[in-house]
Amino acid sequence: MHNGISIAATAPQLAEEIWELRRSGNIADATSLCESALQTFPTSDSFAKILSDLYLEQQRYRDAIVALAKFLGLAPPTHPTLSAFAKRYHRFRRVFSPSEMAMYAQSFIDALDHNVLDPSITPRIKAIVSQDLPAGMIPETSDFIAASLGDKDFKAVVDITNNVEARSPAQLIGLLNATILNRDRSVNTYSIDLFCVSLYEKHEKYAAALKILKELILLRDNPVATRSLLRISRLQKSYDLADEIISIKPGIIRANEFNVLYELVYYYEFKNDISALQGVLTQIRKSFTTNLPVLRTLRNFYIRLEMFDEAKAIEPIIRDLYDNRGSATKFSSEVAESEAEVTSKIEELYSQLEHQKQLAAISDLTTGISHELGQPITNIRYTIQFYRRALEKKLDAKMVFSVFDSILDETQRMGGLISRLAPLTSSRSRAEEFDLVQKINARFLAESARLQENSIRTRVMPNAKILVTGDPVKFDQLISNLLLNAIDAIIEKNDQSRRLIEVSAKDIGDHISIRFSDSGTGVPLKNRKKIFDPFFSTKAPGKGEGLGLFILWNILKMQGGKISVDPNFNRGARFLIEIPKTTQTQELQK
Amino acid sequence: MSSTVLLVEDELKTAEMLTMALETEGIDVVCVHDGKSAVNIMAKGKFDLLILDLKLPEMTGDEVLEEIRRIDPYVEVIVYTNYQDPPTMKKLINLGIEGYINKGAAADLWETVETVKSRLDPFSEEERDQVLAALPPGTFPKNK
Repeated sequence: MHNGISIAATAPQLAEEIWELRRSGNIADATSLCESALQTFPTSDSFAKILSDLYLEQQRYRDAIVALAKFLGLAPPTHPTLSAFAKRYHRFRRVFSPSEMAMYAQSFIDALDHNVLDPSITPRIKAIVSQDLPAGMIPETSDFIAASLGDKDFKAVVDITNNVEARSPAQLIGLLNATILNRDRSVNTYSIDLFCVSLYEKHEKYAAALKILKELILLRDNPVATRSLLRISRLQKSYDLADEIISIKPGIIRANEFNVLYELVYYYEFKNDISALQGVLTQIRKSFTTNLPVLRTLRNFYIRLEMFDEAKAIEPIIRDLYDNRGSATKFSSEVAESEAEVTSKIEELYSQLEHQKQLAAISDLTTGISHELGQPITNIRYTIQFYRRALEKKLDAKMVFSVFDSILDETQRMGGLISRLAPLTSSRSRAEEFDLVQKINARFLAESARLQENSIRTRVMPNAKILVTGDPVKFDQLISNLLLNAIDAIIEKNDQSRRLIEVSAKDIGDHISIRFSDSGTGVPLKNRKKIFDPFFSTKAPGKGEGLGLFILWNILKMQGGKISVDPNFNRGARFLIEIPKTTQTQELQK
Repeated sequence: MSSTVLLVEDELKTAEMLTMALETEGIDVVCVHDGKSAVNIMAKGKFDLLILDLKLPEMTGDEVLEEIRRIDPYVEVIVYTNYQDPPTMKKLINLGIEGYINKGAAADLWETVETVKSRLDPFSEEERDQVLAALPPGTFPKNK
């Protein structure tokens, strides 16, 4: 026995001695040496720690946990202390039953509530141990259950949860899980349940929050619940549950509460539903004309969505609102000033970005051209290289001719690419008066064989003349390109009941507006910005290189017109085209 | 030893010539024309090598490779190098590619075939003999 240890022994010497005994398997001696060492050095946290380990090794669990508590009281409030404690505390979970563990956890919490530890470390220890507290052992449980039975005791519920939360968030969640999560929803406890949702949300227990929200919304509409639903969906980047609930109760997104509208902006942005998104923004603008914070938020939305015209349009309203508050805050006009400046700064940045996008488009175009020319070149080289070797072995006239034909095909393809790009660079541009409706009808007639073969109905409106002055050849290109795309899209969709191409033209002042619709596959939202890019194509290999719409866009741009996809049309694709009545006839520079 | 190559190429003529050339060298070729078919036909260990065009309709080459690596992380992959911007190239390298071949004016059919062959079988006949000769005698028990 080591009762007779020399008084002169230092702590490190003792520690080493204990370690030696422990390693040689002499746990009992190591323990008693450690016990007396702790008596000699009563403030040594490391002896307490070692002692706890030694007790645990001998399955003296109660002594071990007491020693661990002693260690915690002696150790400095640092991260290593915390992790040393956590590691050992978790070991006890393996040997104690949940109820024993709850008892020890409670005694830790009681001790901590008496400020025995440094406040910097107390909450974290509480967080570790309070996981072992079952809801039944939280002292407030019975009061909470009583209060949560009706919304009339809402305030009591808030007070209790505040108390529990301040002590231990984990305990609060445990309490809610035990009492609120799985109970039946009722209009009498609606507010309390909704409040508990906000607590779940605050502590990022989203699954629980969503479960209760779904039950609450199906019970009764509530804008706060809708907002929470959409906000959690946004944070989780998944609106699946929201969609499910909306499909049952579509009314919940027809709210006029700003907080709901705010979430709806993100919702429609996520869904890529541009027209609904714009609808919400317009609703916000119209409903909150005098609300400065809302309008500032709206402006930020506009800026983020690159809608600078709209952002600028509400600038004066925001400025007026600032001015009206002017008497109260003397710097408000400066604030308005600098905010307006921010808008134009951002716009400037975006226009630089736009320029970069143009550069990127040029780079796309050249990449596309080199790819498009690279393909036939590859084919020619491969063909020659393959047959050269084959013909070296045996000369065969038939083979030679097939090589020639193949090369002629490829050169034709290269020539075709150049001629299709020609409208972009051609300086020849005629300007003469022609009847636009008659031109459209003529293009349809030229394709009548293909239209009939695929039983596609067509309708061109109106039946009267519409005269414009411009380049009839380029107009032909425009119509025939759209027509061929439309036919392809209808064939691809293969819907026997609806096979229709409709064109309508309308004179509106200084330009003609044309709507060109087909009942084909339509343009998926994700492609709406891209379809005018050069070499963007979704058609099967060899069926299109993606130049048609890019060229149309450029032809129209050169002539002062424009083309876009109608975002509100969803029974196929609809292109909106504007053509000036008189094209600027000046020669385009090469 | 017969090897099977999966050729993913949307350009029909290129695919045809490369397939014929590889087949004259005794390599089996399965050819598909878009990324989705490539992913669908891909199964672990089914192919010894993949030749991947990076410019494909719908799914781009790097997206295809991402999917394919999920199915078979070890299949050897050769890509066409033309028209690649650095970020895509970086992504491809991270996904793991073993070689590249040229298209366009630098396209060389038989060089491509050689590249494929050397990936499939790193030793030429001669080199194989040299390696075998260098082994200590008795490594392979002789059949009597």
